[in-house]
Amino acid sequence: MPTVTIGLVEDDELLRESLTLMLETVGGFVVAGAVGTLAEGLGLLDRQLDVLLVDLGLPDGSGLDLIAEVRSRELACKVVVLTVFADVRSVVAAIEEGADGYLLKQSDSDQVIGALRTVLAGGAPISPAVASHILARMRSGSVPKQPGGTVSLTAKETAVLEALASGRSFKEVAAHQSISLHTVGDHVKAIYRKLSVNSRGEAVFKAVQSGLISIKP
Amino acid sequence: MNPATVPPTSIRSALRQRVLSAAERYIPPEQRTDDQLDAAHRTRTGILIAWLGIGLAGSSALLYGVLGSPVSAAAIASIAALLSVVHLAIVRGVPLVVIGNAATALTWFVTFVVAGRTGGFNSPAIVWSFFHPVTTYVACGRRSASVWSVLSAAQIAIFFTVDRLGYTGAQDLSSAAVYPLRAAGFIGCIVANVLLIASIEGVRVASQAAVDRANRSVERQRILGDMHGGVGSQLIGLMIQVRAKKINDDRLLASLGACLDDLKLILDSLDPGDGSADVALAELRARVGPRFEAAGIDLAWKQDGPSLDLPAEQLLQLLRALQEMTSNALRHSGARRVQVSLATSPDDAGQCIIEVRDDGIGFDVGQRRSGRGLASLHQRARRLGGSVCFDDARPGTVVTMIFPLRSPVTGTVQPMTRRTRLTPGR
Repeated sequence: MPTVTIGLVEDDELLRESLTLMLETVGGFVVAGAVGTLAEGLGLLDRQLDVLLVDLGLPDGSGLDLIAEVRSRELACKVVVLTVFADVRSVVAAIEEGADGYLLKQSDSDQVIGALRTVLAGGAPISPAVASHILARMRSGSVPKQPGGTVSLTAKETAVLEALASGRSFKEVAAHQSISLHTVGDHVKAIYRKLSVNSRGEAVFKAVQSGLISIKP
Repeated sequence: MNPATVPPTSIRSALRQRVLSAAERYIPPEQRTDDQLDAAHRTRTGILIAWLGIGLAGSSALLYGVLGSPVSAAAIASIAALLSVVHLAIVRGVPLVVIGNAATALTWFVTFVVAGRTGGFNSPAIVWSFFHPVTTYVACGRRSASVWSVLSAAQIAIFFTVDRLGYTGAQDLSSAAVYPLRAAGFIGCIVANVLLIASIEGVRVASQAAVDRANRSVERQRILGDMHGGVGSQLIGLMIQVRAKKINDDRLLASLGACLDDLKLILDSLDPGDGSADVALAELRARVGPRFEAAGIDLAWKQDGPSLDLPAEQLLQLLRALQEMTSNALRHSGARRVQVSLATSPDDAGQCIIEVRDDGIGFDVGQRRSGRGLASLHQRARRLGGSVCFDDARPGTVVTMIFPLRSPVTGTVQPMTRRTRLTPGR
């Protein structure tokens, strides 16, 4: 397996050092840079990163801005949000900004590495609270619609999301929905992608709208 | 909640919605949940009423000057005076029911004086009598309204009788002035009553905001208590043990993990997502599930009945109880299969039954190993207003906790309701 180059933006020094240590001891990962501020994080983007680990609450701004920058530069690197408890609002905000997933700040290195490998392999973690938050938003219609039409979840995606929201594991969901474990991950990935496409679609829509308003006398 | 979106269920609630949404307009949305809501509302309603009072006082002077009718001018001036009293009461935070009933008493008395001086039963001021019960019904509730219905009926009956008997009272109205004065009287009555209702509804909104604020403060105290009593003291205990080098790494890790778990439970109980306990329970299930899987124990999770909707305090106790029950089963039972069942009875006065059933080594051994855990389960059950029992179901143990849903929550401020308010009868 080729070495994975990682950029780490985390303002807590203890966490930053232990994560770096954790990643470098396990092998297969190289930490190209571990920084503690948004400004330094933006500097990291010039390196060829495979994965950017980002904490959202940075002293000089939000990690969301960093995610937006990665996406606007169309960098190939995966963006993973670091979180303690998978706080629903920040996780969903990060996904809408284009993050590929989130990683719980855990003390157990096996779990961290395992979760990271899952994200690298194209999987996506999702907590019941995040799942039910997305469901609620889809149902209330508060998920921004694209100007060219609405982006909605398929019946299968909704069923998977509902099962995940009830606290079932990927394995249980796979059995429950009679699909493979891999497919559950694909569904989650697709849901995340739709959310981020939606929010970017809306950003464009809003920009156009405000442009129209400012043009009119 | 936007009052305009709620379908009115009766004329009264339709009227209330109208008035409430009118009152809402005086508070900018960003202030509605803010601490300033109460003050803003009182001030705005107060200012509105003061202006109308000034306007009415001015028009009474105009009536006196142009039409030369001191009695009608006095009637309208009395409305102005009444409004300034209401204004003062609102700004000073006098209870709603006192304002409502005092204002009605005053208009009732003024009706007597004014109608007596301006044509008895034919006086425009008699219209007030018809409005008293309506005003008090909307503002103060049924009991006040029934008292004022009787008093107003008595007033109308007295004037009617006096009129029939031929005592018309003092007449100081010229025939040219009587119609505009009557119109002014009508309008004055309606304006005064609508303003009373509006101002009183304003006070109700403000009072509800004050109650919410008080409840938030009670909630804050509770969270602080949970932090101090739970996570805080655990962390301090750990620090002491680490300093004294009396704890090995495994125990330290396990204890820190327990602290994190409890912190997560506190957060989940405060922010249960869609408003029900289901998300918090699902989070617990998703967190506990992998631990059982890692230990090679089959975990079955069953939830029957409608969604649980619990106050944060109860939800936290329930989450902590479930966390303890499952971790007891995980650590002590030696089971291969554990079944967690949550059931609620569908009716309103229902109970919640949690059962954790394992096929492990049975109850006696478990008790010896986790005496403290059992004591705290009993404590949690008590705080939920229910009970817990441990059954030896060899092979295995069944732990069942039963507690009533919607049991009285102590320590919360109750909003001011009709039933708790004073009525003239008391």
